[in-house]
Amino acid sequence: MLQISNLSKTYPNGTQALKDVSLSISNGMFGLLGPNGAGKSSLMRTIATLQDPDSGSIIFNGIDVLKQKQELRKVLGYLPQEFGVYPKVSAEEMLHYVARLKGIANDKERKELVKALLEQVNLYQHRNKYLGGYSGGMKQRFGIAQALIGDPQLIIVDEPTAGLDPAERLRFNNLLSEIGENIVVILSTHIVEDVSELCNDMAIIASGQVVQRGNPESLLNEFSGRIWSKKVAKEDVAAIQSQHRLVLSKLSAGRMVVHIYSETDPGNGFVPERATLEDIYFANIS
Amino acid sequence: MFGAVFSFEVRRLLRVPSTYIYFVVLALVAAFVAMLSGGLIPEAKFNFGGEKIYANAPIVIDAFYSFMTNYVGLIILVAIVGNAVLKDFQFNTYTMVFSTPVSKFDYLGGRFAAAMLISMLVLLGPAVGLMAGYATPGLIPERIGPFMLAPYLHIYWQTVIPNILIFGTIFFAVSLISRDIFVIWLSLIVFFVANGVASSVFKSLDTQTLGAIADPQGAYAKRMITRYWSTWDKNHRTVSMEGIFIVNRLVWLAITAGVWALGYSFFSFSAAPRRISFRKQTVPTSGKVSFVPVAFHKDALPHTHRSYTTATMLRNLWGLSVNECKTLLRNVYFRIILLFGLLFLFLTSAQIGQIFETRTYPVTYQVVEYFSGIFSLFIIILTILFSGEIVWRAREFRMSNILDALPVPNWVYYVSKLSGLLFMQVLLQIVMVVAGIMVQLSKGYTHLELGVYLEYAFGFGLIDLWLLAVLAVFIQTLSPNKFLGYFIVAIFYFWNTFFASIVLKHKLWVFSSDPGVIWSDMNRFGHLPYPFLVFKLYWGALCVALAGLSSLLWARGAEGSLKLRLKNAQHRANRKSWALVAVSLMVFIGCGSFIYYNTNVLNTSLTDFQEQEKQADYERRFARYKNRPQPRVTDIKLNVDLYPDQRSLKANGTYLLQNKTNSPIDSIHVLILEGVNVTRMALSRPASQVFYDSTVAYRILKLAQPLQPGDSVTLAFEVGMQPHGFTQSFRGLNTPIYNGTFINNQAFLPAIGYNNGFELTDNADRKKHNLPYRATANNIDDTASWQRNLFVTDADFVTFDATVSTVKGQTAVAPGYLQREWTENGRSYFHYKMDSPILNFYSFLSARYKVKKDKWKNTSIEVYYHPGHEYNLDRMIKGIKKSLDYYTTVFSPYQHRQVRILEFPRYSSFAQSFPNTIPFSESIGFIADVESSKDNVDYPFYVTAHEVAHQWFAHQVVGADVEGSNALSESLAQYGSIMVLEREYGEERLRKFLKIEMDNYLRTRSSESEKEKPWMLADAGQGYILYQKGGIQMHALAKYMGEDSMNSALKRFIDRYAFQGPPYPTTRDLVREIRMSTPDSLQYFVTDAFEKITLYDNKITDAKMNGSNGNWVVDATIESYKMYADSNGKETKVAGSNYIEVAVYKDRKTRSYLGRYKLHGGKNELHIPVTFKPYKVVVDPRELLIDRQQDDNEFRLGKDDDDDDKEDKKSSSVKATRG
Repeated sequence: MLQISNLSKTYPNGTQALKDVSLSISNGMFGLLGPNGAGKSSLMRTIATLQDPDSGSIIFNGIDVLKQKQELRKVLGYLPQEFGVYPKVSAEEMLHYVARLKGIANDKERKELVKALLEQVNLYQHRNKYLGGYSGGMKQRFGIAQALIGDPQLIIVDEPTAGLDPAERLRFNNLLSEIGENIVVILSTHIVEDVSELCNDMAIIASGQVVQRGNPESLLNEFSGRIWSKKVAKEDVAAIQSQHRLVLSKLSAGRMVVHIYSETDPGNGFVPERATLEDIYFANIS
Repeated sequence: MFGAVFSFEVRRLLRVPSTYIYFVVLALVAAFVAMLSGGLIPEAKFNFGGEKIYANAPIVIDAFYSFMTNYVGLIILVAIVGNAVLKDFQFNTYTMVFSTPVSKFDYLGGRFAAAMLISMLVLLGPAVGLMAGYATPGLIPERIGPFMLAPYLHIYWQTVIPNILIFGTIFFAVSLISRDIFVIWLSLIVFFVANGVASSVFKSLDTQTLGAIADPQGAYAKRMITRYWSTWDKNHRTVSMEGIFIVNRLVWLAITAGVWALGYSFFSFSAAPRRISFRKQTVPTSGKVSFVPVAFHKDALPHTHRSYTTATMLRNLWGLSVNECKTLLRNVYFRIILLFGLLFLFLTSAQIGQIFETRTYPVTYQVVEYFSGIFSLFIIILTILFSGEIVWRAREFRMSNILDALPVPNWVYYVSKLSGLLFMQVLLQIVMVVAGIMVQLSKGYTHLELGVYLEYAFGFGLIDLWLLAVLAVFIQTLSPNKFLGYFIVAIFYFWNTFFASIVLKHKLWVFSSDPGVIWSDMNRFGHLPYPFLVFKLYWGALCVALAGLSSLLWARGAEGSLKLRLKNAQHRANRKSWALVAVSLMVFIGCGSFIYYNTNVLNTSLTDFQEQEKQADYERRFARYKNRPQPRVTDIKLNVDLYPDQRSLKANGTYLLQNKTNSPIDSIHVLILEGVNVTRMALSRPASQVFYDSTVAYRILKLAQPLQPGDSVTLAFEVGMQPHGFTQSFRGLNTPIYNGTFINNQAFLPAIGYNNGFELTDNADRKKHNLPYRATANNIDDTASWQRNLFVTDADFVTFDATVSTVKGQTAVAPGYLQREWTENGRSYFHYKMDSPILNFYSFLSARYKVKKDKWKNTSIEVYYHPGHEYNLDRMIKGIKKSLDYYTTVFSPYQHRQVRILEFPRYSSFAQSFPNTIPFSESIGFIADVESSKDNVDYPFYVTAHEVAHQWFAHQVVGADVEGSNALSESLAQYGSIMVLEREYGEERLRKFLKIEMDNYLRTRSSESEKEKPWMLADAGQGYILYQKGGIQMHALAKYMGEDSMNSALKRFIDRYAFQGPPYPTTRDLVREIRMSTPDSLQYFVTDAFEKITLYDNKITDAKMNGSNGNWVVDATIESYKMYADSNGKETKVAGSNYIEVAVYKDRKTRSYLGRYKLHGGKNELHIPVTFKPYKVVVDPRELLIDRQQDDNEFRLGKDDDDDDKEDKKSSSVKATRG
C-alpha cells in the first residue's frame, strides 16, 4: 500500500511540477496517465527516492520514503523513463552489477537469478553483447529485468513503451502484465491503451495535479452515454468547440471526427459513441 | 557561398564568450609571467639565461610567446578548430546543412578559414599581455630593455601564424576523418608525446639538424640558431627567417597543404561518419527472434537472499571495484594512452643516464627512476581523465536513473569507483615495472633488482598517485561538470608542482609533498623512508578526510546542487562518516604539527631568500675581519669517530697554528659551520673567548699574550654532529649516512679567520639584500690575495695525521697511508699518516667497500668500490696507470706512493681529488657502459685521468686566491686528461669528445649571467671556460706549438711553484712560461686563447679536384674570419692572418693530408696537390679552433658519386648569417 499525501514540488526555474498530489495505491497494476510534462516523471522520481518534494509525504508499507530512502530502495524496482546504458558493458555484466548492489552477495544465487531473468525477458542469447548495441525493445526488456532483481515490493515503470514499435510494445505489456500481482506496480504512460490493457486502477494527472482517479471500468461507466461523435469539415471544428464541450477531434479518412461530452443528446447530427479511456483522458486534460 | 559560410562562422565565434575568455586568459598569464620576470616579486628568482638578459629581450619574448602558442595555444586550437565542423554532428544540424546546396569546398573552407582567423586573433593575447606586463610600473628598471615592436611581429608571422595553420590543419583533418572530438584531443596528446620522444632522440650533435626540420613547431630550429648566441645577441637580435628555420617552415607548410587535402578528400556529406572502430559493433536487428512472444513467469525466478549489512557491502566492494577497474581498462582511450606511454618509454630508454653521449648500464634504479619519471606523467593524465570518467559516467550515460535508486549507501559507490581507479594505477605501475625489466633484458642486463622496483613503484610512487586520485575524485564530486573539474584539477596540479613551494615556502602547504627519497646502490634508501612516510601519512590523512567528504557529498538523484547534497549529508545516518572526516582531520593536523616540530623546531628551515639574508648578515657583520692577520694551520692531528648507524660523528684533534705574518696576533677567529656541536675549543696558551655568535657560529678567542711572528699555538677542539628529527629536504653528502659517508673537513672542523667563501656572490641577489656590488673574484693583481691559496684561506701546506673509526664492517678512509688497523669495542679503527705536505682540504669516507688493488711501478693503486660495481674498475685502473705514465714523464714525479679511488653514493655526480684520495660518485663512471658503442667516450677513463692530474695541478701547484686561478687546476687537469685520452684512443675518437666539449662551451657561454671573462681571468663559477674552453685551447696550443714545447713550459711552471707557500702563482705566471716556449709566429695564438675571447668562422665555400692516377690537385675556396667577443658577447671581426689547418681525406674516415696554412680574413684560394684520389677537404679537422658552425667546415669532392649525396651537402650547408 503506497500512500502519497499532499506532494508539491516547484523546480528552481519556477515550473511547478507537482501540486498537492495525494494518491493511495494498493497492490496491483496502477496506471498513471498524463500528457508530456504533466509531472508524471517528477512523481515517479520522487517515489523512487531520486528527488525530494518541497512538501508532502510518501509512505510505503510503513516506510517513510522521504526519510528512509535506503529502506525503500531495498524493496524498490525502478525502470526510469529515460535511462542509458554503458556502451561497453554486456547485459549479463550489468545485471550482475545491479544484483550485487541490490544486496545479493551470494555468487551462485546471483548467477542463477541473472540467468533466469535473461531467459525470461528473452535476452539470453544476447547476454554477452554490449548494451550499447541493443535495440529499443531489448533495452526496455533489460530495464525491466534489472528492476525485478531482488524481489521488489514496489515497482515503478516510467513510460516504458514510448518509442517502441507495436510488436515490441505488445510484448512488453505482456511481460508487465505478469508481474502486477501481490505487489504495487505503478505504470506511468501517456499511451491510453497501455492503461486500458493492463491496469485495474488508475489516475490521470495533468499540470501537476490529479484530475481523475478510479478504476478504468467505473470511469468508463461514468462516461458511458455521454460521449457523442460527428464527422465534420475541418473548418467547422471551431464552431463546435464554441458550442459544446469538445473532448477530441481527430482525422478519419480526410475528414474530422469530433467527440464531445454531453450528458444529454446534443442532436444536430451527433451520434452516441462508446466511451473509451481516450475520451476520459482527453476530457480530463483539456 | 564561401563568403557566407565564412562570415556567418566568424560572427558566431565573435559572439561566444569563450573566444574572449581564451584571449583574456592568454593575455593575463602572459602579463603575469612578464611581470614576474621583470622582478615584481623580488623573492621569486625568475629569469632566462641570467640577469644580464632583459626580461623583454627578443629571445625571451620569443620563448614566452612561442611557449604560449605551442602549448596553451594548441589546446585552444583544438577547442576552436575541433568544433568547426563537429558541432554540426554534435547538435545534429548537419541534417540541415548537408541538405543545402553548399559545396563541400565552400562549407569546409569557410568553416576552416573562420576558425583560423579567430585563432589568430585569440593568439594575439600573449603579445598584448607581454607588452602590458613589461610596461607595468614597479618592475626593476635594469631588467627591462627598450620597447621593440619588431620581435612581436616577427614571432607572430614566423611562429604563431604558421603554427596555427599547421596544427589547425592537422586538428581539422583529424576532425573530418574521425568526427570525434576525443580523437582530436588524443592527437594532441600524441603530438606532445612524440615531441618529447623527439627531444630526447635528437639530442645528440649528429641528429640535431634532422630534429630541427622534423619539429613542426619550429622550436628546435630556432634553438639551433640561437643556441650559441651571446648575451648581446639575445638582447638585440630576433630570429629571422634564416637557415634551418626557413627550411623548417617551408617543409611544414607543404606538409600542411597535404594534410588539408587528405582531410578534405576523406570527408563526405553523409550522415554516417566513417568511424575508426576498434571493435565491430553488432546491432541486433529485430529479426525473427524478437517476434517470439515473451513467456514470463515471475514466480519462476529463483529465490535469492539479500543482505544489506556493512559486512556484505564490504564483500561486495571487491567485486564492484574489479568491475569499475575493468570498465576503465576497456576504455579505448585508456589503451591508446597506455600504448603511447609504453612507446615513449621504449623509444627514449636508449638515452637513460647518458654522459658524453655514452650510456650507462641499465641498472635498476636508473631504469625505474627514468621510467617512473616519464610514465607517471601518463599515469597522472589517465588518473585525472578517469577521475572525471568514474564520477560522471553514470550520469553521462543516464545510467544513474537506475543506479541511484538502488539500496546502496553512497560510500559503496564512492569506494568502489575510487578503488577501480586505484587498481588501475596499481596495474599501470606493474606495467611500468614489466617494461623496465624488458628494457633491461633487451640490453642484455640481467641483474634485476625486484626489490628496488617494488619499493620505487609501490612503496613510493603509488602513494603519490593514490593521493592524486583521491583529490581528483573529490574535485570532480564537487564540480558542477566534468570539464570544469578537469580544468580545476589541471590548474591545481600545475600550481602545486611548479609554484606552490615557491610561493608558500613550506612543504606543509604543497600537496603530496615529501623530503624526497633517492636510491643509491651503496646507501639504498638510507634514512629517507621515515620522513617520507611521515609526510605521506600527513597527506594521507587529509585524503581520507577528502574521501569521507566525497562520499558524503556524492551526487545522487535527479537534483545535484551542492547545497542540496550538503543538506542531505547532514542526515543522522551519516554520523559515522562525519566522524571519520573529523578523525582524519585531527590526524592531519597532528602529523602536520609533528612535521613542523621536526623541520622548524628541531631543525631550521629557511627559504632561499632567508638563507641569502643570513649570508648577507654574516658579511655585514664580519667582513671587517677579512684582512685581519691570522695564524695559519701547519699541522693537523685528528681522531674522527663515525657512527654511520646513528648518522653522527664525534671528532677531536689539534691544529698547530703559526703566525706567519710580520705582526703579533692578539686574537684568533674560529669559524665552524652551524649545526656542529662544539664541546671544547681551547688554545694551548692562556686565552678567553671574547665573542661568540650562535647564528653563524663565529668565535673570537683573545690571547692573553699576543702570538709573536713565527710563534705557534695549539688549538684543541672537540666537535660532534648529531641529526635531530628530519628536515624538509634531503642533503646526501657531508653528513654521516648508513653506508657511503663522504664528508670533508670544512663540513665539521673549525677553520681560522673570516672566510669570504660564505658571502653572497650573485650580484643580483646581493642587490636584493642591500649589499654593494662585489667582484666575482679578487683582482689578479691584488698582491695581498697572492698570499692565500685558492682552496683554503687558513693554511698553506700542512702535515696530517688522523685516526678514523667506524662501525664494524665498514672501511674508513682519510688521506695518508694506513699505519695501523685494529678493532676496539666492536668498532674498526684506521690510523692514517701523510708523509708529505698537503693542502688543508681533505675528506673522510666510510662504507662497506671491496677493494681492487694494482700497482704502477712502486705506487700502489686501490679502488674502493661497492660490491656489484665492478664494470669499469679496470678502466679506472688503466686510467690511473696511463696518467701516471704521462704525468710523471712530462711534468714531475708523483708526490705520493699511492692512488686511491673511493666510490660514494650518487647524491652528487662528481669526482674530486684530495691528496692521494679520489672520491668518485657511483653515478659518474662506475656504471658507464663504454662498450655499448665503438664511438663512446670512455669517461671513466677520462674522469680518472682528470682527477689524477689534479694531484699535480691543485695538490702540487695551487693558484693564488684571485681570478683565473681555478684555470691552473681545472684547465691544466683537463689538458692532462685530454692528452692521456688522445694517446690511448687516438685523434679520431678524441674528436667526438672535443666536439661535445665545444658545444658545451658555446652553449653555456651563451647563457652567462654575469660576463664572460677571458680564460686568464675566469671565475670559479665559470666551469665552461675552466674545463671546456681551457681544455680545448690548451690542447690546440699543444698541437700548434708542439706537445713537447707545451709540456716543457708546464714542467718549468711546476718546478717553480710546486709545494711553495705564498705568494701563490696566478695565470700570468703560467702564461709567461708558455710564451717562453712559443715561437714568435704563434704568440698571437697565445693571446687569442688566453687573453681574449676568440671565435672563428671558417667554411669551405667551394672545392674542386683535378687529375688522375696519384696526381691530384684540390682547389678549395676557404672563407675564414676571426672575431673577438666582449664580455657581453658582442663580436668584432679581427683583420690579419691566422694559421689554420686544412686536411684532405682519402675516404670518409682516413685523413691522408694535413697542412697548416696562413689564411687571411675573407676568401682564400688554396691549391693542394695530393697523391691520392681526394674524397673530401676539411678546414680545421682536429677541432682546434672555436667555431660555431662546424658542419660547413667540410666539402665533399668527387663528381662521379651519386647526386643525392651532393644535394644533401648543399642543403645542410645553408647557413645562418651573423650580425
